[in-house]
Amino acid sequence: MDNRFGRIRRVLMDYSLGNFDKKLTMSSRMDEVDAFMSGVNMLGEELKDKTISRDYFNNIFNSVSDMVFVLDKQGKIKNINHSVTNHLQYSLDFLKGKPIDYLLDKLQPDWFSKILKDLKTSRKISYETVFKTKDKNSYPVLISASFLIGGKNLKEKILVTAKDISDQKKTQNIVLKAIIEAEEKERMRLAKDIHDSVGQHLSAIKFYIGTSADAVEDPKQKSILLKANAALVDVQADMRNICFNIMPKSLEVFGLIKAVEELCSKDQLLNQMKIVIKESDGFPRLPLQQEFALFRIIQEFISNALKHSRADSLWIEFRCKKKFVLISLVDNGIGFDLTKIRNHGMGLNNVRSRIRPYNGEVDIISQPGKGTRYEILIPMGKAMK
Amino acid sequence: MVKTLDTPYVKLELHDDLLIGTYKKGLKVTLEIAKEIVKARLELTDYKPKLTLALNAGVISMDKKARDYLSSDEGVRGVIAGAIVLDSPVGSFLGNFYLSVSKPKVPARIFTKKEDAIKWLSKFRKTIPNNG
Repeated sequence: MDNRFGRIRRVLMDYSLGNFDKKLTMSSRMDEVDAFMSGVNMLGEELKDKTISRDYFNNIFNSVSDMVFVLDKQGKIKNINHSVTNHLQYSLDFLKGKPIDYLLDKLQPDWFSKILKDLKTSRKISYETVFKTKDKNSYPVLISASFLIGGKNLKEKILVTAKDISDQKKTQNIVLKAIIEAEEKERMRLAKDIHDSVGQHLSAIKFYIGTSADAVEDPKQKSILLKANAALVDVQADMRNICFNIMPKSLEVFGLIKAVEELCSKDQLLNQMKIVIKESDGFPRLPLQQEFALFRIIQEFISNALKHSRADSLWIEFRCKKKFVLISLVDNGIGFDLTKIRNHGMGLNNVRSRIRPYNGEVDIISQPGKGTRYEILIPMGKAMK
Repeated sequence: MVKTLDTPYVKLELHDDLLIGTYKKGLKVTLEIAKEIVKARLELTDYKPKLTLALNAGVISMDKKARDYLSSDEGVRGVIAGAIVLDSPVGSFLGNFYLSVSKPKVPARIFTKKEDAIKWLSKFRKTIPNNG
């Protein structure tokens, strides 16, 4: 048999093993077998070129520290790089075919639909979100997404990159925590100053007026002094309310639940709505700053229920489970469409900002006509006895 | 009048708007040789677009870089359409591979007869600019 066939067989074996540098030397006959050998040589060159490109791409794809996802137009995961597995602990086999929404925090419904919608008007989009790892830990990321242009210039797939912003978020939380704590300290100082200085003066004035009213004999003057005394009683009550709103003393002394009970027992609230407070056994004292944050959220929720929701009933429940505190706030008001206020719900963002420094989360559930519910979850931290 | 240019790799003849290139026997085309051939072609045609007929019987191999270059914009510069005439098994394999895999950016086709190639090229004559 022509020994050229043996050489062709060996070179084809080399190619199948990825050794594309092997070449066949053609004979001087320049016949069909040499023609075939020429074709095999060219095949080797093309394979070498394309295979190196693929390896090169894979190296880059898997070396980048950012997480990279390739999605189809339905948002299903087609491919991921090693960084996804390293950060989120999911394998490609597990994630392949699953919707990208699977990785997201449950507070972001229809996230992929939003990406797709935004990509239709913009070549590249970028915003922050939170992934969940396999161990259910939160993983804040900065997402960028763009279409991958395939053959025939079609936008066949979507490339999503996710940059780890945990450190950035931690720094932001430290700053936010410092701002909130400074604010609360200032409120505390202001409430104390009002109580100690203005309150003391008012008490003294009330004493003098009361003494004068007792001593004076002229009925007209007595009546004026008694009216002044009554007015002072109202001023003292108003001042106590103002102090309570600025910084409830009961929060500092007795804790969150007592402060909320005091807040809900105010006449102006009781006249407008029925409030039910439930507390599970063993609900702990939390670090004061966490209690301040939770109190402000509850205060804001009640205020919204009165001002915007037109609710006439409100339920507040305090529970604890393992190392977490859970607080449910529910009203029976008019509710709202979350998707319409997602980007400009300053009040809702404030709620999140208040508990984020303490690694807390809030799930806000509302629909027009179906009331509003906040589910707050916050790690206990170092609970106070 | 027919203008000619003979290089170590190819003999070029310019018949008005038709350029005929006959490759030398046993030629192994590398990137450097491919560039020399394109340079010679453009010099002979004064950088004006022409119909090109390649008589490739002499070429016995063409490496990857040469194939990629000859299918690139630079490699087909000045070529309105290219016909390749092949009469050897090796040339035929090589020509078909070049057209199918490298995909030159101008109309190109393989023929076994020179007459058929010229007839096909003549269809592109009307696309030659006036100053060509």
